[in-house]
Amino acid sequence: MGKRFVGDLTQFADKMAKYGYSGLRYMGQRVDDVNGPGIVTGTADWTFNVNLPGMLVGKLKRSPYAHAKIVSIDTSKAEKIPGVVFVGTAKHPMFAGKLIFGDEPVLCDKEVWSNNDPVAIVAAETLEAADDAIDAIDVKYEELPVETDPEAAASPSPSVVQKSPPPNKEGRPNCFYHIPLRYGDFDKEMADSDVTVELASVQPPDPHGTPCTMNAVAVWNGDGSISVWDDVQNIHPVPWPVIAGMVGLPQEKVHFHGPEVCAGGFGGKNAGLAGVYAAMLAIITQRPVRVLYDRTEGLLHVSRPCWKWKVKIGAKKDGTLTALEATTYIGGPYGRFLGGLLERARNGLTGTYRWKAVKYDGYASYTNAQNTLSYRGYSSPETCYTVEMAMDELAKKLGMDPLELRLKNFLNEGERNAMNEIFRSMGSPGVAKKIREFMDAWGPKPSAPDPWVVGRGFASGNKYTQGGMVTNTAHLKFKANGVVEIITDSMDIGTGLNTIWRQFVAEALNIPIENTVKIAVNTDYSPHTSNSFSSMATFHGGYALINAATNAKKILFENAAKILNVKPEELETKDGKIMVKGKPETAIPWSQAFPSIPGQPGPASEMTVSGGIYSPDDYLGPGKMDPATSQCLGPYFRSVLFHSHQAAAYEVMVNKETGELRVTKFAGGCDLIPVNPTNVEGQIEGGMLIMGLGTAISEARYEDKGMYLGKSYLEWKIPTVMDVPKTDYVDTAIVPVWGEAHGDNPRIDAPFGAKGTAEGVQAPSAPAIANAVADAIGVRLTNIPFTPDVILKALGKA
Amino acid sequence: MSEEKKEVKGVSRRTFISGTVAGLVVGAAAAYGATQLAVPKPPPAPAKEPIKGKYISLTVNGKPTTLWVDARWTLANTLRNQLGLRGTTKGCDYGECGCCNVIVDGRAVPSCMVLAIDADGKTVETIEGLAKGGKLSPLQEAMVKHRAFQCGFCAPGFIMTAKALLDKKPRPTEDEIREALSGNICRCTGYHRIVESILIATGQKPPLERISSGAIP
Amino acid sequence: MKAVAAYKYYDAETVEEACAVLNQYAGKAKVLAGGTDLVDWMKRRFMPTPEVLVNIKKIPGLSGITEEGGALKIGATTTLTDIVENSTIQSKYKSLADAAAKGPPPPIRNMGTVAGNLCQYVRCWYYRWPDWYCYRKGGPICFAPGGRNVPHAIMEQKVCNAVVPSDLAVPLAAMNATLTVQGTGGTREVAVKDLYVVLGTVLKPDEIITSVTVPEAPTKQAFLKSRVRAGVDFALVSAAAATTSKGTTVALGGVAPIMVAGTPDAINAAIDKATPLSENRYKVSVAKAMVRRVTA
Ligand SMILES: Cc1cc2nc3c(=O)[nH]c(=O)nc-3n(C[C@H](O)[C@H](O)[C@H](O)COP(=O)(O)OP(=O)(O)OC[C@H]3O[C@@H](n4cnc5c(N)ncnc54)[C@H](O)[C@@H]3O)c2cc1C
Ligand code: SF4
Ligand code: FES
Ligand code: FES
Repeated sequence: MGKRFVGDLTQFADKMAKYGYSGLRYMGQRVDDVNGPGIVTGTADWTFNVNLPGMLVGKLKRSPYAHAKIVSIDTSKAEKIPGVVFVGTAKHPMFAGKLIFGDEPVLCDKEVWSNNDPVAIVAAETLEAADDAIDAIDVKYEELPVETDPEAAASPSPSVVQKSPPPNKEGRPNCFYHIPLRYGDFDKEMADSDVTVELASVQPPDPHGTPCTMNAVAVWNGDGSISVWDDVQNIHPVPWPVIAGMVGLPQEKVHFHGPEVCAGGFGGKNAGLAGVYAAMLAIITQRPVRVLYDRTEGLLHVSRPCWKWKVKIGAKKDGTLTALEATTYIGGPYGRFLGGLLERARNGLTGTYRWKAVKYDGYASYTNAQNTLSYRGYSSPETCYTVEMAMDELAKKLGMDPLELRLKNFLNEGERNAMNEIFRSMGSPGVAKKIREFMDAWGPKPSAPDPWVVGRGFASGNKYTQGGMVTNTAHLKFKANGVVEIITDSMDIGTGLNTIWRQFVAEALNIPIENTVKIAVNTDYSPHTSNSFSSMATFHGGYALINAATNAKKILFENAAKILNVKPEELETKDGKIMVKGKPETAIPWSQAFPSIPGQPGPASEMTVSGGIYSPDDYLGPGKMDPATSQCLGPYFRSVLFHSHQAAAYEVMVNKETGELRVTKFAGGCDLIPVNPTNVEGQIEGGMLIMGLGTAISEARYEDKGMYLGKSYLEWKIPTVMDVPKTDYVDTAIVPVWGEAHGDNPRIDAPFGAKGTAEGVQAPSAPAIANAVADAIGVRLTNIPFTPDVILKALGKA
Repeated sequence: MSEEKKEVKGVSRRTFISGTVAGLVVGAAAAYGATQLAVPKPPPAPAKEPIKGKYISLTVNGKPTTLWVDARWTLANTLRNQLGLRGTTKGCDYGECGCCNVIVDGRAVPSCMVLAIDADGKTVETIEGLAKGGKLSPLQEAMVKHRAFQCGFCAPGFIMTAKALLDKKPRPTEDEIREALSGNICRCTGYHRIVESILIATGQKPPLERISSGAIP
Repeated sequence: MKAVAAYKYYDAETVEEACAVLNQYAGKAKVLAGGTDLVDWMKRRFMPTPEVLVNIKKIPGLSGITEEGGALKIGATTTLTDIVENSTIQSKYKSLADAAAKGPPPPIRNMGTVAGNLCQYVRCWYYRWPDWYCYRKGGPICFAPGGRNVPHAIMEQKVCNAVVPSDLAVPLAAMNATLTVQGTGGTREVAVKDLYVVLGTVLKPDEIITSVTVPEAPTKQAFLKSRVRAGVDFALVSAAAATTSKGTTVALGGVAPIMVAGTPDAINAAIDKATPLSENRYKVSVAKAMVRRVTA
């Protein structure tokens, strides 16, 4: 029987009381997913299913080359195809601009820097006409030299200088970011180490791979505005302003509809660029237009970048960690989010363990590899991967149990880490011990029939959510019939947000959850509440909602106090009624306590109350970060909003003759208070058990001169159900710790103590598999994925 | 290595690679490979002419329908665009993800690989046909209750594939379930709860053991 | 997401009629069986696509599994699912049932036919997309040796390094199966192991496979396949062995553009002389181990 552990939450009752906790009525409960019935009947409102009469099909012509000069584009044949309404290139003023970071053309004009760069666009009456037109566009290229290796690209004398003028960061022509960290007396601590371990790893680009590719629908309205439906993870920070900016309309003239459920994101749907193209075509053609990326575009338009790591760690004989040295290189054709990745990698390195000295350098450079975007974990899986393998090797060298080594070195609650940040909400030891307990319960390693060998591995992980875009507002609309409408811009991307929003509100207002409704997301009325990225939605959105509920209760209690002739503090609320504490007979419905409209008798028929957190400066605390050393200066300053931790264990079988690798057992967990344990387990199963597993065992990214060869699911291989352990061998653990943020000034609790988790879950998984493979075959493999050819090569059979 | 291969290796690909399909036409004759041999006899005239489209009859979720289809349309697109059955999703259009699986004449098939014109006379079951009178089928109910899906985009394909299995074998083993679903891709869930829900829906497994020291049910 | 390229559809009612249409369009018409490979081509358009598709599934008598006089006869349009589920094949030709079961995932097996499986186009990743104009498409070069070749051939490469993708061909070749092929010029027999030639098959443009015959049930047989993922994926290497009155034949899949089949000794010798490419030396040791296991 697989195990599902959820630790005791009642221990936090006192702390939760502050937020209107009503006795775990909905907090921590397995409330059914509100999207469930829509999903299982195929009627969920995915953007994919938006269907407008007379809708055109928009398609992009993309470059097969990774780096080439565009010699000519001939669209004449395409224009003549019956059903083709519009064919455009960068010559058209609408498509002449640059996207996002200002270095990425909407359509390429003179040069392409990556396989899949768009060079022309078509709108047609039918899919058939659109695809025929795309094929009929004749583009002549002249190939240019290609560099996909982010380390080679960062060299002071690279073989290819990509952009002119080159960014030339610190004398490296292609390099546009260098993020350093300097902490402690590195040379001394490394020299004083009794034992050191050095490891290097390459982690190839890995697409998000959601079955539902990027898609959007746009329509031109007669009043000079456009309406856009875009399958996105966030609205306010990126897609909405980007679309408005690109088509030259004020944001109010872009009516942006979010999906009921974003059909899978993992970071890949943060930019929402399909919406940009759809909006442009809608304005040009004055018709509704759908842009739906095909499978190949879905795998090629963005991915996580290739990461190259070199890590050296040192320790004393007793296992006390001393120094950490890490260098990493990433790259891509455009700036996009690469700088942020290097910062988060730095944060990840300084977390989990206590180091006496750390030296880190991260470089981001222009390459002709696949374009990049945020990807689940935003560098935490890639960072933890190499460090956690090094920890296992270190344990081996020291003759220590890998768990003991980790337990000895985990940072403590309230301790300062190597960035001089105060560390809060530390659950690593609890999770690690629990997962180890599950692993031990598997019993001794089974003996496998020849030529299979069995191995087991364990790893910890971390994910540190940065704040940054904190301008959170939520509205609650109270209706006279007791129903509360939740008005936010937050996107459920399968994570269960639509459900936990209702749980938060129902718990904080102490009402039946059936009386809560989450309203469809539309910028016409939705405030900026939270973004479904960086695992921050629960934290930010939940906080705003609970704050709104608290504000509402204050208003209701003040008004009710006047009616009931008591002080507001003497009141309580339950199921939409307000009463004197302990006296249910005094109950009046909320509606009687709604504020009245000035000059009108009696309460208004509705009440809308807002809540939120604002002011990003508050969260940062007084102080700043020294860019040369990445040290947080000032007593409370922190670059991280909140910390989260995970652990994973796998049992694998390796066939020594064929190199095949199969995963037979899994245990994984994370440290948080679950709003809905089922959702959290879903993240552990989906993010740790399998998404990390895919990066480790099958998702090889083959390219030839920057031209990617894996352009569909048979060539780029997501694990299938046959690649996961049977249901009896999947154990999950949720080890609760109180979530809090903001350094110490002021310390801010997560809503009901619940912090996010959806990305960190992936962090420990690839290193745990790597450790298991090393255990099985006795050879340390560091470059993922471990496909049969790689394994056989390591075994000297290739 | 043979002589030919060495020769081939020496040629610069840069000269020849073409960015457009049009460029391929140059090699069209050779494109059909070595099997492209001279045709021996003058062709006897076939009885009919090849067609670009026709009226087909389908029985979809129990209802007979006749509609005109273009030869280029797949069953998936026809269901979505012509019949308005948008529950059938598409994740690849190449038969590789299983999102579009529907049941045709009792067997689960990827509807993106079925030419609509080739489905003439067939019986098709789609996700829309499962809930009867607004009531979810037991399989759907278990999948909601046990949170089989997250974003849910893959769900229609998984459910129809599972249904085809259960129609034939009401109590499949876990291995049989895994085998039946091996052509379906899900990026969100890890498949764990999908398999679990099917085992639960068929009365073969209680929900997994939940260790809890506190107030969590 | 991707439209099927323009073509015209033809429903054939007899084999003769189908051959006539194929003949009339002289290589620009193709047989449409399950369509799982053909529709993929029509969407990816990695080569100029056919003008006419001739559906042969409505021809009476082309589908079905029968055993006559000790020989197994499988109609061309019999689906892979029918093969997996057929009790005769399960009991007496198990390696064939295994190969079908370890072939494509069940929904593709429900559509894919035995002849289509044998005739499917190679899965070389340069070939399957329009971006690379390679030798097999009529271009001047094979990209695999100087490029990425993890899944490619290690022997019998000649000018193309793509491997025969069919899993069914492997046990069929080991069991000395033959194909009945009908064209406008009449009917002939082709051994499965001789079906593949340098850049395709020996079938003429007007020819249709009407059935597959396994002359006798082996007394001993085995099929093994290695792949990246446990549930789907074409073979990296596969091997089948069958012992019949003619002796033991071993066939290898995933290693060559043609069928590699022969006595265990001959096959071992062939593996010893393998000419792997830069990234696929691993296949040599896998093939060796597999031959040892299927003949054990
Ligand atoms: C996701 C996926 C995974 C797969 N995995 C595997 C795998 O692991 N192993 C494996 O072996 N295969 C695999 N396949 C390939 C699959 O088995 C074939 O696509 C299928 O068997 C082809 O059969 P079909 O009837 O659909 O052929 P079609 O697509 O109809 O035809 C394929 C080719 O054969 C020709 N043809 C068909 N019938 C005849 C005939 N009677 N006479 C002459 N020519 C004919 C057609 O003209 C065409 O050129 C996979 C396919 C997919 C989509
Ligand atoms: S192996 Fe064959 S199909 Fe692949 S690139 Fe070479 S010639 Fe083309
Ligand atoms: S869309 Fe049909 S199988 Fe993927
Ligand atoms: S639930 Fe999102 S792809 Fe399966």
